[in-house]
This record gives sequence, C-alpha cells and structure tokens, in this order.
Amino acid sequence: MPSGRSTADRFQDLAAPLFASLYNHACWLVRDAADAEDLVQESLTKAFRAFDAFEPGTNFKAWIFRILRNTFLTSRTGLEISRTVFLDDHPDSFEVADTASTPEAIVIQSAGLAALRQALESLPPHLREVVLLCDLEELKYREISTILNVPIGTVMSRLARARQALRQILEPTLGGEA
Amino acid sequence: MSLDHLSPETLGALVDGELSPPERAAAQAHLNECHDCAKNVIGLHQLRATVKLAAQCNAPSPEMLARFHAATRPVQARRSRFAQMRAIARQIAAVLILAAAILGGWKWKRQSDSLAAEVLDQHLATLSQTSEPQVLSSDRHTVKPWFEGKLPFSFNLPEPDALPGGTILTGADLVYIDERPTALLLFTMHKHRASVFVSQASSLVGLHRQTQSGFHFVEAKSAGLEFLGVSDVDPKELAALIQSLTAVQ
Repeated sequence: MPSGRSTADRFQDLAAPLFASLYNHACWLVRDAADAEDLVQESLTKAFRAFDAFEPGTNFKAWIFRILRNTFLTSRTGLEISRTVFLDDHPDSFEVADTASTPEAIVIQSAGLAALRQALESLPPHLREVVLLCDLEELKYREISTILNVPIGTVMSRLARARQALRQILEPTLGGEA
Repeated sequence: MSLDHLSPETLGALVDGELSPPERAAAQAHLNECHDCAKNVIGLHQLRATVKLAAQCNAPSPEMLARFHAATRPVQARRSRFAQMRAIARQIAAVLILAAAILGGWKWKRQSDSLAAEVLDQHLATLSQTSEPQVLSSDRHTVKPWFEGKLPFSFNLPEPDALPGGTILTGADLVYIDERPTALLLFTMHKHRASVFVSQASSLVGLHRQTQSGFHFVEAKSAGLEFLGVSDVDPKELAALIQSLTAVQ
C-alpha cells in the first residue's frame, strides 16, 4: 500500500466501494433497515480500529464481511441465531424453513425476482448467508469459509442444500430440476 | 439421484469455478454423457444469476452513505480539525515571536489551548457508546503488555486495590496527541469516566488550565513520563488517581 497516505485514506479507499454491499448484506442479516445501518456503522468503526491488523494483499472484502458477521453475531438477533443448532451433519433431516409463510402456489404464480427474494427469505439464515456470499458477493469458498468460520466442506454442503431448497421452490420459474 | 451422477456439491463447485483443472475435466466428461447433470448445471447457472439480481435489493440512501463515510474517518476528521488549529496557533506564534519580549508567553498559551482541545476531544470520544477501546480489560497484566512495541516507553500500572476507592481500569487505547504516541488509560470512577494520557517528554503537561467545558484536567510528571487526567469527576478524586499512577513509576 502507498506509504504516503494516511491510514484513514487507505481504509476509505478499500471500504467505500463496499458500503452498498455491506448494507445490503446487513439488511439480509437483521431484516430491518435501521438495525442494518447501525450494524454497518458499528462494523466500519471496528474495522477501522482494527485496520492495522489487516494484511495488505489479502482480500479486504472477506475481512470486512467477517467483521460485519461477527458484529452481527454479538447482537441480540445474532445471538438467537447462533444458538440455533444447524443440521449440517444431517442433510436428510433438512426441510425448507417456514414454507407455510411462502405457499408454493404464490411462488409459482409470482414472476422471477420477487419469487426468488421470497424464497431467499424462507431459507434458514445459515443457508441464506452462504448463498448470498457466494452468488451475490462472488466470494470464493475459501473466503466464505473464513467469514463463516466453518470448513470449506461445510460451505459446499450448505450451498448445495440452499440451492436445492431454492430450486424446489422455484422449479416452475427456472425450468430446471431440483 | 443415482451414485453415477455428480454430487450436488460437485455441481455447485463446477458452476462456482471452484473445481481444480483435473476435477473440472472429469466433470465435463461426465456432463457430455449425462443429460440430467448437464440440465442441473444449466439450472444452477440460471439460479446463480437470478440470486445475484434478486438479492441486491437494499440500497443505502445518499445520506446513509455519507454517514458511512463519516464513520470511516473519525480520527482523520479530528486530526484535520486539530491540524487546522495547530496551523492557526503556529501563525499566531510566528507573530508573537516578533514581540517575544512582551508577548512570548502567548505562544505557549495558544499551543496549550490546542492541546487541551485535542485531549478533551479524545476523552469525549471515549464516552461515546459506540466507541470501544482497542483493549477491553481491567487486568493490568493484559493492558500493560498490549502497549509493548507500540510506544517508545513503558510504564507501570498500580494494583487494583492501590487505585482510589470506586476506581476501576476498564481498558486502553493507543492515541496520538500532538503527533506523539500516547497511552490512553480508561477508568470508571463511581459513575464517572476518566481518561488518563501517558506520554513521554514535554508533550502533555503545561496546559495552564484546570477545567474546560465542565471537565477537569490534572497533570503530573514522574520518572520521565507525563500523566494527564481528564474527567468530570471531583478534581480531588482525579488527582488521587493520577497520584496512584505516578507512585508506581
């Protein structure tokens, strides 16, 4: 990194292009616009304070998304989720969460993005976040593994089950097989 | 799905570009022969592209973006303000030097005003609920080692029972006062918060003031170090805290 610029300038250069992504991801985590803004603010403050610990040359996006997620996990909503027992080791017992609130009939009749948005909302949080980090944020499995603090194999299995669940809901729209 | 088909994890890794070249070649060879898996790959590509569009649905407002920008440069903003203040102080000092015989003392007065504002600003920043020190600990054996390698000096911290009654060490930060690395020790004193700045040489003491904006300043020197306490607690109690720190140097 250029040494002539201040730490704040270097942090700003890296963080500013990610503000929209961080806020969008925060909205998916907390499901409330005001809480999402607070979460991003707190995460940015923490990241700025810890910026000396960031290793130049490594992926800043993965680093700051991990801070965002860890900050979320210490919030009340995050603590509730972290207490949830995920069924990573029991894929046969997985079912799409809360299907009653997203009746398949509505999903089938709804077109495209709105249907998928609703399907994403119906996913359990630990499946939703992995598909968002992969498909939306285009992070590599290794980076997602670091952000979520789980093995790469768990990232792969969660992705597979998240996509399977989404395709089950959206099969008529996408025209593929689950 | 039969065992002959590619696993969902392999299909996903193929679509995500996560397979190694040999794995990808093997998967491609399978896809050339397996209509079901090929159809699955197409569906996954469709899904991935659609998720990217659908999930990008929460955009921050311009005002929110401005607040995010502000959150990423708190120290920078403060330093800029103080840099301006120092520049003004220097200009004033330059004029005063011309009349040094009569007005020389003003130069130090202006510098001390700037320094007081900088110290007070750092203290006010610690009072913010969203502000967390870099070291959150009441253990002096955690706080003191944290500064190793960060400061050009070392200092001692008193035993908890050597602190004034109702005073607890809550954490510490590394800050820069007048561009010098300075240890910031954070204390709670009953229901008040106190900041104690520890620095080297003649950078802290000499503020020539005891209160500003309702906050009290208490300063002392010991063993080549300077201690400056800032708090809205009773100045006598703040002085006792400073005394407990200088006593162990």
